[in-house]
Amino acid sequence: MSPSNPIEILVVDDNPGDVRLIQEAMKDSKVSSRLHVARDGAEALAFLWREEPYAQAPRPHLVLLDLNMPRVGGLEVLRTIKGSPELRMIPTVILTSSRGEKDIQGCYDAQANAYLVKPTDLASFSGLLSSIEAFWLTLATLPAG
Amino acid sequence: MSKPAANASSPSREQTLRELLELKLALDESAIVATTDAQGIITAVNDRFCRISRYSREELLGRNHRIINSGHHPKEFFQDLWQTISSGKVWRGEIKNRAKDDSVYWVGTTIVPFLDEVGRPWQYMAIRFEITDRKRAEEELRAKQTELADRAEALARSNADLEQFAYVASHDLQEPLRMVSSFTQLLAKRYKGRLDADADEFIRYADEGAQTMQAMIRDLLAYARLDAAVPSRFPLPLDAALDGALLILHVALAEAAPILRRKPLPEVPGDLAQLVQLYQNLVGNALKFRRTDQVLEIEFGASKEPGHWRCWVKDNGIGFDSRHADRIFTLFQRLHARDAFPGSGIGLAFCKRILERHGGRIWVHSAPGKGSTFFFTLPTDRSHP
Repeated sequence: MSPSNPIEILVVDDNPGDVRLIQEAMKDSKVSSRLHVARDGAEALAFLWREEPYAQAPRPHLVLLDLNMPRVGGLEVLRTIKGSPELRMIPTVILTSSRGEKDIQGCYDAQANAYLVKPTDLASFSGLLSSIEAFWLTLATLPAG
Repeated sequence: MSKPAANASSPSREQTLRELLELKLALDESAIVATTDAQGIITAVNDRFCRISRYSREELLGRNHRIINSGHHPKEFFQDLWQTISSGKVWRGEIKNRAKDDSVYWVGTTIVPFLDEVGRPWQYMAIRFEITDRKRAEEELRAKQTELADRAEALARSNADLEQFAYVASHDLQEPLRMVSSFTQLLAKRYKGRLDADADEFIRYADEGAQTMQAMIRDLLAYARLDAAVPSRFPLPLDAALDGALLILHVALAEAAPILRRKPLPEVPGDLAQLVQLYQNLVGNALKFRRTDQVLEIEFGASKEPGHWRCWVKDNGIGFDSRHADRIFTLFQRLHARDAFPGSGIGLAFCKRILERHGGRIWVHSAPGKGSTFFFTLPTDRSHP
């Protein structure tokens, strides 16, 4: 990816604190990326389908998806993405605080690309985001958006 | 076979009569007997009938048998009874009757219809045995069973509620707490040494508090999970559980370098993971609360007692006042300041729960400076809950 083409990341999370933590962790990133934030599943779907007010939204290269959200939950967003021929290629990584076996199973069943649990301390949280970045944005070759 | 001569083998009338009288005597001695005519009018009663119904013979003769009906049985019950006997068949069943003084009694009843030449009943004989005690015992048993089932259900419900509560509380509490701790850590990372000494100290306390609470919530969650998981019951050598625990603790063991005295441990039915955790917590405690002025010694053993094994883990550590012997098995109870001995204070509550789940129990003998001995029992067979 050339620097002029930043990596577009869609963060779907209803907790502004988590969004901020992700933003903070990405600040030190070596990769040029742009974070887009959807505060629930409905906003995320509107963004992905480029519905108003997201008509000009880029197709994200990576989706970081929380599970427990009001209105449309994360699993439903995941199913919509993976059920759509247009969207299914977008790597979708679950980033949640749930360790529930049912959530984990359900997400992999719905073809989540990875299931990650939000660490409870800052250092691990930053570390996890670096790993996501290192793997998905640097090591992995992603389909052209 | 040739037909024997009548006068040779058939008993005389006298003999027959005597035998019948003897039979009646035996019957009257043992059973409550009454006869009625085809309409149910009482034609004869024996003494036992009078005694149990508390009516005199005079009060009973000529009266309809309904006189002792208790009203306990539905109409269909007696319809069925009458249908059976009036069609010439024997009826058997259990009847609750009412005596003259309103007391009730149960009788196991056989009613035999006596048939005339054309097969119509002309008289009925009811032979009864009192079963009031058995019925009462049955009723009590049933009531007890219902009560037990109710209690078990209530307990299961409250357990499920508690698990649900602990899980929801701990999981949902983690979320805002993660925010507190993440942002205090971000504050510390970015502003440490750039505000003033007070600010640094405040941030440190906020961070420590959040981390302590996180640890407690994590432990609470593990405790709730422990309660939700049914321990398996496979025969396993307790020595293997101890081996597992010592392996997990090898770093702390290398540091404390205790003398371990291991007497042979038995084989018990149980859950390996939980019993490893049991030993891990007990040995962990011995390591944590050791004396600094002498070599730590830990002894492991078990002795057979009726129905269970009594096991022990004995140390020569700092010990404690036995007044606190019960308190230390309660969630989050600590006898020492957190900075003297770290930990959330859940280890022994865990042990207690693990043993309860195995049908055993745990207690401790201790004295300050004299060390502690933790005893626990494990059932020898797997029939325990």
